Amino acid sequence: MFWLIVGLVLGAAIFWLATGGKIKLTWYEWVLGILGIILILFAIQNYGASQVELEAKAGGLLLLVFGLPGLIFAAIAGVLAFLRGKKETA
Amino acid sequence: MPENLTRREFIGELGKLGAAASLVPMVAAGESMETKAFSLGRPGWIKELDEPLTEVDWQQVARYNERHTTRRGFNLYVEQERIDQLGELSSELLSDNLKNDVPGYTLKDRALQRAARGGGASRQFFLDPEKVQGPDTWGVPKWTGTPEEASQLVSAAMRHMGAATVGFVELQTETTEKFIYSVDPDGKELRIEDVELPEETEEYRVIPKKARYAIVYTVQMSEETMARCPTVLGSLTTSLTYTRSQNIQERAQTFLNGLGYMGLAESSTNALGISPALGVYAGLGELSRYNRLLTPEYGPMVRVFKLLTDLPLAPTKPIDAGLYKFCHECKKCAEACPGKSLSFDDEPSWETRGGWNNPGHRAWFEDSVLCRFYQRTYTGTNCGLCFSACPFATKNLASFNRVRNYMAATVPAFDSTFKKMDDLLYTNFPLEFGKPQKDCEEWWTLNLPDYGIDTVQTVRETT
Repeated sequence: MFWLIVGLVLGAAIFWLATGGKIKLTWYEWVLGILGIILILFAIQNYGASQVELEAKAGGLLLLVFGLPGLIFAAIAGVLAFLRGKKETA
Repeated sequence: MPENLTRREFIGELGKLGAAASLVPMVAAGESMETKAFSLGRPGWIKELDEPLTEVDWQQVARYNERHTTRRGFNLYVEQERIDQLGELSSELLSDNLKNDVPGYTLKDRALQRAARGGGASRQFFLDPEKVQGPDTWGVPKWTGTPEEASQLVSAAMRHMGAATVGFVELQTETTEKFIYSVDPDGKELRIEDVELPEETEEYRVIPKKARYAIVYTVQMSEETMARCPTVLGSLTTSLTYTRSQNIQERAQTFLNGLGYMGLAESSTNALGISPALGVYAGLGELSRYNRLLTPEYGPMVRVFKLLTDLPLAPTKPIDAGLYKFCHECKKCAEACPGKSLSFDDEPSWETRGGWNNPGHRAWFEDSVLCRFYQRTYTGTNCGLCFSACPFATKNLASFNRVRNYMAATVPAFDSTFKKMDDLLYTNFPLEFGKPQKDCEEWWTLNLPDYGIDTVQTVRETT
């Protein structure tokens, strides 16, 4: 159920960005954003599964190793798009 | 085609013609109609091979006397006086640890381990367990079908009885038949003769030549329990797996008898034949640095068992899941071995370390005497650290481990990186040499699944 909800939310967000959104992303913002989301999802899956596996340390490290770069990529994509949008409206 | 057919008979005859026509291209192309291999339905990146990656020189392989292993023949390699001293040391250690409430050796740990080893009905027979009701008593002919159907049938039945993975080897006189021991653990000679029925006397057991098919199966151990080795608690999962296998074995014999075929099995623990070798040839796994079977589904967390039958079965093929190659780089089991009994060599060798190894194949042979010395002096029970330290001794819920399994099979260049990541993720720092990886007292508070194992794991891999 968790992954179904995540999929629906992400699908809706991507659809909005690709079609009706005010912000038009450049190709490299798309690449950075999708890479970031994949890494974040991978980190979340590994963290949750490691808790079930009773491997808390591994879960925490996997969250850090994959989640942090994922957040950075997604943040760069978001900041770039925001700054560009601000510049265009100014 | 006969005349005056009913509509049903006419359609039946058409079917026969169709079947014959479908064979024509095969015969024209020169294809033989030999038994096809049976597949375990694994992911595509696990390659099936005609020969295993472990090299074998069949000229040098002879049927091995099980009593030459250190399990049964320790006195062949060590003086009896020393063995007696080790026995006393072992007993003292167990007694002191029990009285001092050492975690993993407390009264509750001892009681549970004893229950796993000896509690419940655990019987083992070479011959059929009893006069089983079968086709004769039910007034029907014995079951017949293609070898592929037979393999499917036996696999489904045995997995439902508790086996994790099931594979099949057709024994060949000059090759794989040599994996059957010449002498069983109880000293009885194992004879393979051209006779109709098996036989057992005080001195020997007779395997009819027609019992050509080895059914090889794994039974899962608990990673979480094995992480508490080397203690009495940690050895619990090994004991429990052996007793579970006895239960599966007797049921498998009864099933085969019920179909109208013989089922010849292990008369005692580790009897009948060499389990890792049969496991490798049945494609259940690959031979590892710790010189045991390493499986793609459960890593080292299995024990391997076998029985023989005259029911024609389609063989399963040896595999390359990248595990044998991974062992070249990894060496983690050897690093964790407190007895210094495992090899650090980069490449496997044809040279054995002693009479407890059977020669004729290229492997990382272990020093079994050192292993037993350590166990008896420092643990008082099984060790198992080589099993628990293995990077593949993980549950495969976390995607990272599934990515590692895939990468090990397809891009071996990353093997050493994955080993280092395993050190970081799953090894406690600082590594307490010869000590359990996880807290023994905590084990009693965990809500572990049945037998401490994940029985859905194989289903997940095969769907």
